[in-house]
Amino acid sequence: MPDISPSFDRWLHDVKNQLSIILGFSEIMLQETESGDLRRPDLQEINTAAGRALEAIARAPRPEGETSR
Amino acid sequence: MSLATIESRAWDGLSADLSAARLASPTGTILVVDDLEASARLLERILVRDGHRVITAHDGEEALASVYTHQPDLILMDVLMPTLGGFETCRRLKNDPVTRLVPVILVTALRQSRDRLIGLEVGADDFICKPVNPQELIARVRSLVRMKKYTDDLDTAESVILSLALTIEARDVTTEGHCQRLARYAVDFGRSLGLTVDDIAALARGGYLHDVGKVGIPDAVLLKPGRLTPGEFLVMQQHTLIGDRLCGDVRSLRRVRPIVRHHHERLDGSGYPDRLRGDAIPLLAQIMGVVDVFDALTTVRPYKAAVSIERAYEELFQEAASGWRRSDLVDAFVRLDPRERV
Repeated sequence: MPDISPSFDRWLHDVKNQLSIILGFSEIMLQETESGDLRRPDLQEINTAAGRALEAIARAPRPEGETSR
Repeated sequence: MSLATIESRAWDGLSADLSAARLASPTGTILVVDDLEASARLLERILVRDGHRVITAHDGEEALASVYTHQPDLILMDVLMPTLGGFETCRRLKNDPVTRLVPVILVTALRQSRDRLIGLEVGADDFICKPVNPQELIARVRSLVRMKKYTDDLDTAESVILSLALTIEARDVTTEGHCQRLARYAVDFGRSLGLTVDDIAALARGGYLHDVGKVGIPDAVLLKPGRLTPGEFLVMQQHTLIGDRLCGDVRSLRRVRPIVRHHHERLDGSGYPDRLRGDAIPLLAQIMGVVDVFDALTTVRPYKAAVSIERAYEELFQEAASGWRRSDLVDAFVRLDPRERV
């Protein structure tokens, strides 16, 4: 089976994996937190930042010499 | 309305209710495979909240072992994992007859279309990208679990019929092992002829099920230690029609039905039940007919002793010369390595 090379794609994959975990768990915590809970705005910040980071790496320019798989 | 009709309708109603109850609640056992512990726990949290039971594995090898142990209804699997990745694990699962019907969703941070194509090539049923949308994940999981339960229902029906076939074999001690041998002979023979995987699978099932209709034949005829009278022979012939009806509603047996119904037909039209001639007799039924005669000749029956393999070959050649069987099929069967059939 073809495997991904240790390249930009691999780095992208690993970062997205970690951000997906932050995004996913913060969403679950938001759903499980009452609307008046003081932690809720902080959780919302984490969740929004993770989402923006994912958007940002999707726009990241491909390094020279790297071809899209 | 007769008592039998009332009982039959009650049974149909109960079966429908049970089936509807199972399918209305599409929760199941989900195997989550991801080398990142936190990723696996995230999926587990989402799925447990939806009522599923979740087990986890951290690479392909662990997943393959877990599938046999836990028999999950669905597998959610990361693509990039150490030792054995998601693509190869999926390919192995889909090539294994025991696990091929378990749906696999590949969950990955890869977004390239080439990766999706590889996923489809190795038999994945669906593809979900990270970050996972919980609502989308739940909807897809429910859909595939529901599909798996339909498949299980069909599989159960097939298992019942298979058990019936083995019960019939157990009624007659002289045919012990007949079904297993026939399945093996037919599969070897089919492979040597270059048949498709689906045809080979039909031959394997047909080996077990070809005589399932004997469930409807009285012991006095089925177990008679001597030649049957013409009247008894007519009763015995009914087993092909009874077997065909038994397999009738089971979709997974649709390729097996022609074997069950037609394995006693002869090329010259002197066989039964439909007196088909020549190519009108399905090839798989002709193959089963050859191996059935071979096994009947080489094993002891209530009405005869076993003959040698060489003598059985002569008998098959004689049947081909008489216009009952295709001589090329008989030749091909005889050319198979005899050690495979001993």
